[in-house]
Amino acid sequence: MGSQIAKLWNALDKRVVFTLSLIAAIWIVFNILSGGYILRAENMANLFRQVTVVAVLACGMTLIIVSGHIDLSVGSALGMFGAVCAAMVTNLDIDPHFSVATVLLLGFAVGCVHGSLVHFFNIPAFVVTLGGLIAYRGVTQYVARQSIPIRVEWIKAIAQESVPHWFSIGLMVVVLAVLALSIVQTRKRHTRAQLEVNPVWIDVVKYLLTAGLIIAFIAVMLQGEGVPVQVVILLAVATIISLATRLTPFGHYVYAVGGNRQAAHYSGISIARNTIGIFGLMGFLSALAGIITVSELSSAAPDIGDLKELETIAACVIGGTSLMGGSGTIGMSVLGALIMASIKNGMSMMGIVAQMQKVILGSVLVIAVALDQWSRKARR
Amino acid sequence: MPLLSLQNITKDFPGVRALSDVSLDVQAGEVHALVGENGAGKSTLIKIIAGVWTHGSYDGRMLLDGCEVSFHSVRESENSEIRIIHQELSLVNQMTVAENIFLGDEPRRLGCIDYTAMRRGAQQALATLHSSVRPDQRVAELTIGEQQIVEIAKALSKRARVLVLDEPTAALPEKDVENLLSLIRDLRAQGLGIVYISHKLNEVFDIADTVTVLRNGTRVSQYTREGFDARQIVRDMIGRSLETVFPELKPPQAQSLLLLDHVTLPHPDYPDKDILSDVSLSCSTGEVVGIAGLRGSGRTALLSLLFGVFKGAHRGQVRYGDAAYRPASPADAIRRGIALVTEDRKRYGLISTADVRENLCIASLRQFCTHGVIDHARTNAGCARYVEQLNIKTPSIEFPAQNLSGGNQQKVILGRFLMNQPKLLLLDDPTRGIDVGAKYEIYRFIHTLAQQGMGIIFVSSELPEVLGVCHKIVVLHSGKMRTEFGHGEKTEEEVLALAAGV
Repeated sequence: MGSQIAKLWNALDKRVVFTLSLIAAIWIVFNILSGGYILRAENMANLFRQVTVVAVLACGMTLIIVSGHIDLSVGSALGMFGAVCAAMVTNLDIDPHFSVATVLLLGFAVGCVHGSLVHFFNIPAFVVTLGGLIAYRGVTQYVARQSIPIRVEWIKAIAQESVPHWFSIGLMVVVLAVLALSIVQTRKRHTRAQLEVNPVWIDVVKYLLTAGLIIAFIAVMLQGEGVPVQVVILLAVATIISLATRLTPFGHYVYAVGGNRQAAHYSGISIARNTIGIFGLMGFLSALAGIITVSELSSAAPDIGDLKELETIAACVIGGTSLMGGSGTIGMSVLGALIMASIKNGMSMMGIVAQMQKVILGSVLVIAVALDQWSRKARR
Repeated sequence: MPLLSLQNITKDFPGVRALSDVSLDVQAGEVHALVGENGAGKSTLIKIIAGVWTHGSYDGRMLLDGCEVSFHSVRESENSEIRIIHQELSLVNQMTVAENIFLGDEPRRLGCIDYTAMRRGAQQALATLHSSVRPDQRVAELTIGEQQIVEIAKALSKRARVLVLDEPTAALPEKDVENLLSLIRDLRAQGLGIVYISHKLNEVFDIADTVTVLRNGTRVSQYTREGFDARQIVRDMIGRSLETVFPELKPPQAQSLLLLDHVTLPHPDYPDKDILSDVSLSCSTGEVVGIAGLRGSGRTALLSLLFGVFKGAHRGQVRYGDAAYRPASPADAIRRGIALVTEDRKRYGLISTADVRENLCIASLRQFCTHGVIDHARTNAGCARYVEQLNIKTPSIEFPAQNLSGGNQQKVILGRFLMNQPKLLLLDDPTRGIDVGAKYEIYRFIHTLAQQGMGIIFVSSELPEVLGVCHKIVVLHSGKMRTEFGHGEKTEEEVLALAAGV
């Protein structure tokens, strides 16, 4: 029995287990301190709403940092794209579907320009995006010099509504089925290729643990108004990008380029395509985050997205992404964002003033990285 | 009484015994060579002497001049006048020679750095080493040989009794090696105890007074100068006998694969200077062509040209298969079936953050894809096959690649390119800094590949291996072809003279 637990423990990703436990601990502590408020269904839905924008950005930022770059412009870019979207829909009265699609494409294009400047002109990403940070804030402040209201219902629904219950349950069933199927398929293929596979019971336990988390999440959400639309978007974005890093050559190349650029070049990898691709993705996600933000506020203001770039980088770092490049995962960065949002949410529930919250969040960031470094050293 | 005496040293790491009951005496005025394969325990032993592994983390005693010493830090070892020169140079490229020599121990006046004293001190240190390097030169401008000298000057700028050199010639061109060896002889004459670690046995025989052979953490044997026997020492190092060091050659096939016709490669920055001038060369399928030449002879430029990384245009014709060949990038070269195993493993080869699997399949991921999605069952199976074929010693394919020994890292990089099934394999000094056993395995593998019809261009700093492994050898000197001859047609001395431009 004891050895079986040890085997299971070895088959699990310890960092994920630890981080999930940490989040659970944060929730429980704040739940006690705030008199049982934080774990209520409606607050849980709120918490996941609060995490969305930073988590979406963190999905792209992880790839940027893994490949050895940084993007400081995402907060301002978010503001600019949000403001442009609002201006198109409200001030210029352009078709909302067309506007949203245009803004997303524009985001991708601006990101590609960042990537090209970094690659072809050899300007450090820090400088290119620092320029963006300043310039796009200016654009935001000009376009949204007077707050622009959003009146299109479906755009507002992105951040303010939840998906119908039947949709959440259906999606959950599909996800659970796909997950089970992929485990069975992987086992089959590995056996056919005469490779080692986990004992059946370990895969079953792993599946049950994952499924349990998913079911618990949906169950809690369904007790309130359901799963917020923006959270569904976040989960889709995180899942797609995370799978892409594992299953596509492009994703693997990001890690190779970040780990050793020269070796990647000598292995026949196109560094240009890779760099431009990840910055393009980052731009796209900034635009998406901008649309979610204006949807949330029902308007675009000059200061939207302010300092989001730093929160995003902090989320990635708390999730264990190395600023030296080469390592870090999407899932862990999203969990990093969730840790920050949970602490923020808990502190607000306890009535801690905003100024103090900042002091605590800053400390948490530094302590998290110190702990991470210490655990890496201990493992060696 | 020995100057430095290690007695019954045993050092354990979790799961492995790195050193087991090793004893070693170094006399003043002696060069004591330490030889053994990678992983034999040489580095661990040095780290104990250097105080990296502190007193108490190992068993056994260390005596300096007959008094027991116990180092709790590197600083304490330095205070006992022990100087270590590590394999990887640790100079700051952007700083001057003088600043590097006194880094961390700058002469001061009124709390500020006294540059005059510093320059004077550096000048003296360099003069005793008969070096022409100037104290105010930037380290980045120096050759690797000169940097090595600066490193030694740095070690000797403070009083030293014991000097440990860990593979000091691994990165040195032939002529600098001779300088370094004569410098070591001088230092020996001054009464230093010198511990010398090298994979190159000819150097060891040239300079050492005593040779100690380590294998798997134990001291296997010790020889004094009169008793040196190359075959016996190699046998001791690898624990078995190498009947023939080089595997037998099979004749190549006749089909032409690569042809360089009067190729000239102007220097991209200085158009009037040629890196290669008028080089003609051919390689058939199944043929191993050796390129002998010193560093800077244009040998790496030749491979860069063929792999699409050379920046600049060339004159003359290159034909590959039956068409003119001009690759624009490594990606282009790889697509056409050319692979390059680079000289600098750390810089151009290994992805240190990734595991063995990732390092193996990164150049061939597309062939494992169905509809753009990687099939991990196939990558795993492919990697497992190459780990077995190349005899890569790794606990699993998910093991961090940077924790492998040098020889196994090199095999991983070789495997990476073989996964693309290349037609022409370019090897740039593939056995540099790896142990004898792994070298032999790489030679054997080269021959297996040649028999399967692959054309191979083999560049090496070590003449015996070029002469032993290749069908045909081309000697380069300052970008010019000195000669071309077949296997067994010339002796090492003749080739060395040609390569050195004599």
